[in-house]
Amino acid sequence: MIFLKRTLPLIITFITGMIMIVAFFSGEGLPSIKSLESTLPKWIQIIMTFTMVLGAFSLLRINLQKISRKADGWGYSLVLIIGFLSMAFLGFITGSWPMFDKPLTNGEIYYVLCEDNVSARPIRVIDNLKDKEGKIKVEYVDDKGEKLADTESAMIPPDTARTRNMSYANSMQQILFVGVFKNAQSTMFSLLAFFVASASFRAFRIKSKEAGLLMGSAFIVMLGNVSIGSLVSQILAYIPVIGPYLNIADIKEWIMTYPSSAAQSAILIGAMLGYISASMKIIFGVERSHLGGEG
Amino acid sequence: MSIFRRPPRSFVPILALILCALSMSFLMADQTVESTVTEHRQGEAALCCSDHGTTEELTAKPAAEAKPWFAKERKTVLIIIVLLLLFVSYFTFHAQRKELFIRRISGLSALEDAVGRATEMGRGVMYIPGIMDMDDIQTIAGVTIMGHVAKKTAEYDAAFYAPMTRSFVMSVAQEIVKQAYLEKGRLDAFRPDRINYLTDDQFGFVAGVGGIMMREKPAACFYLGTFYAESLILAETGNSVGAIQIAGTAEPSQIPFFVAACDYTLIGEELFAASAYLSKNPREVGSLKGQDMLKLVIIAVTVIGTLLVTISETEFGKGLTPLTESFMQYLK
Repeated sequence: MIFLKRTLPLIITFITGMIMIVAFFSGEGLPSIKSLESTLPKWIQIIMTFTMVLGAFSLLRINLQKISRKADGWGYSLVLIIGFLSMAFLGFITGSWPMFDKPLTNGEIYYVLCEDNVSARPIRVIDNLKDKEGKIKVEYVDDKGEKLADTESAMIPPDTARTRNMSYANSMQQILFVGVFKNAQSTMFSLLAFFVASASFRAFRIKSKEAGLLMGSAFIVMLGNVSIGSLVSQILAYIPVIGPYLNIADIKEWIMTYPSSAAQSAILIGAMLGYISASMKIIFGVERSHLGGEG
Repeated sequence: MSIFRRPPRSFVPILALILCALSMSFLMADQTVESTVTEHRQGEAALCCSDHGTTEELTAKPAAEAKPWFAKERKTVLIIIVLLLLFVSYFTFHAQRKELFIRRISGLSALEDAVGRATEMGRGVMYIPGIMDMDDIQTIAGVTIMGHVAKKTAEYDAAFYAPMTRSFVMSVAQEIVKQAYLEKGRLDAFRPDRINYLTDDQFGFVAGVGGIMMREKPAACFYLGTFYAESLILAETGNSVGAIQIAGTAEPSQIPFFVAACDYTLIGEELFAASAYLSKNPREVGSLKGQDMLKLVIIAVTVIGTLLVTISETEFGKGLTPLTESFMQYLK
């Protein structure tokens, strides 16, 4: 068992790591080794896709247990399970609709998704033979199947046209995805603006020399990014001798270009060396903590 | 099967053989492709010679365009890696005989205090190893430190929560935490359901973690790994529940957010040094020292380059211009 849990992963890590190092440094004279540089990351993606099943199983198991035990907040788990299953079902149906839908026939009415990605618009297929671009000829009709007077025929990709039932499923899926999921995502992201303010308030409390320096430079950078900064520069210009040098925009630019980017470069160099060193330790089996147990 | 029972050292010749076999197969494949291409070109040349002159001109072309086996544009990286390997080997050997000094990293020294505080308050510990998958080295560093934190929670009997954004990381983390509890003889206290997968979506994950934080109110939060826009939301939520927070990332854009919102922050390479710092394993400490030596070399090269460029720009340093140019060219 120890062989499968520790030794075999170490062997695989070592061999794969060495192959990747060789592939990274090999030139065009070794095309089959060089090609591994782009092929192996694809293998990783495939393996990661299989692990999604693990995640889905874990999510379902934990939340189903909560519901069955009526644990605190089990209602949220119920919402999660309903959302998970409905989204998976609709996504599967709409994503693989050609398996369920019949081929497009001339004169029949189908539906295409509108620009809002939610509602569907009826069309009639005029010619189901694909042109050079793989599109078919259709005309826009009303709900009763009558051709709309002010519209011309159009060319659309055939996979965008769906039957009535498929179009309902598609709209439903889009309502959940665009209407609920995307908006919830944007809401979470917008919280960042409030958190920036509260974190800045704490960080800018001058408790030490360093905090004072941080506050001062942050104040200049903020002032340099707003239009009032130029007004402040004009007022400061009246100060004798040093006044003309106190241009807020220039000082801000200097802070961003030199001290800030120098500090970032230093962090990056250190981090990159850390990356290489950590990778070497993993490839050579010095660092084994990620396999469980003592390193 | 007997070889499998021996320590890993016995695998070195086998590994060498496997690597040799792989290299030979690749080389042979490439030579076959190369000879096929050459034959094809010669065939084309023979066909064209009646219309476009002699075959010598055309067959000479492949020889002149011999493709290199080594990517010359990556020679600087190779030099850095070789130097790093030399330094690491030397200091690893050195560290086994004499204890090497590692400077104090406040964030890591506070790790035990944070878990202790959570225990005293009767609350849990939350650990997030970033939002990327196991192919990210920062995630590996994150789950490595997770093992050390889990040992402390096992020792102090504090609840350990680790919501995950990647299912692969979840299964690795479960294994590491289980092993940590096993080593401390507290396997009964291990709760795999607390190391659970939430979602792959960045902000969906933030919402899930925020919910767990507000419900469970952990007294210590650890954010060690790769973080992006969610860093501040997580850290501010943790702050709002009064948790002591230790963060660490090598993402330069997120470090200011963690510095502003957390009690301790591991900056850049400190994240990778954590394992050596916590385990005090001579091999790992040696690699840390080797890394520092290479940093010293990089600083020296940077100072020399800056001086050369500055001096060659002045009237007195005109003679240094060719040296500066070749120096800069080599660094590229």
